[in-house]
Amino acid sequence: MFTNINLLELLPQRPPFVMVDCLTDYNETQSSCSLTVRPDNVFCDDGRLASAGLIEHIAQTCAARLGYYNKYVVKTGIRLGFIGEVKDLDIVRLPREGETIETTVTVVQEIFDVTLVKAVVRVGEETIATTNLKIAQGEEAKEG
Amino acid sequence: MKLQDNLFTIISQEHQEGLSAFRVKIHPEWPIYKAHFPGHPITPGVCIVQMAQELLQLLLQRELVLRYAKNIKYVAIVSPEEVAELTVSFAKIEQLPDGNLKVQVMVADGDMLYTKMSLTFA
Repeated sequence: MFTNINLLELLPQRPPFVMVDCLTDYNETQSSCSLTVRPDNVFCDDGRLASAGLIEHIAQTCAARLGYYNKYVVKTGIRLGFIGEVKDLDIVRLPREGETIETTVTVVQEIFDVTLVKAVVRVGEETIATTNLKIAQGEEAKEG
Repeated sequence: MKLQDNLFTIISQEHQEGLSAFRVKIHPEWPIYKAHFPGHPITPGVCIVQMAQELLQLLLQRELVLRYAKNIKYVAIVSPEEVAELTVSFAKIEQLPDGNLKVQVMVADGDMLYTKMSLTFA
């Protein structure tokens, strides 16, 4: 349903700093994105996605959600987004090269430009990381 | 992607009982700044975590894997156009019974605090 959406239309980040491949689900309270860990990923080290890449993937799953809302629901421009806070991040293991991870974010609270979500990262049925994340939205992104 | 000598270089370091601090220079020409974000370079928050990890690995002379973060609070944005240098300091380095390592990290420049983190590494 969302596979025809080019994620670059939803995100302010540009390659090589794009850590999501597809928006796989979107509804009022929840959305998901997937990423296949490729060797040319800037965060791929020694055959694994580094923790920074994993956290960025979670943050961009949020960014894709906010971008989808801005573009398709309220029909405004894509805005810059920043991580405000990471809380209770638990990394069971880092994803390996070739694996596809899927992250689901559930909105806990939205106050003006700040969105608080709970995130679960899975490889198939296996949960590999969980966290709470606060994302703040800034000004509209420039074309790039 | 190693961030040392790409995003930052170490200018100096200071070690006292219970506290270690690194003064680092930020490189505004780092290519990732063109992607995050075009026309609006901002240091990715996740790279501040990795910078801390790389410095701690250097300090302890061993590889670390981030296992748990109780809290990572981004108090202010690190723009390479405005921030030339940062001090990354490590306090309360503690070996937990399970062998993991817990540490408090502050990223600041003088009185200006940018990021504070409570991290646990395996």
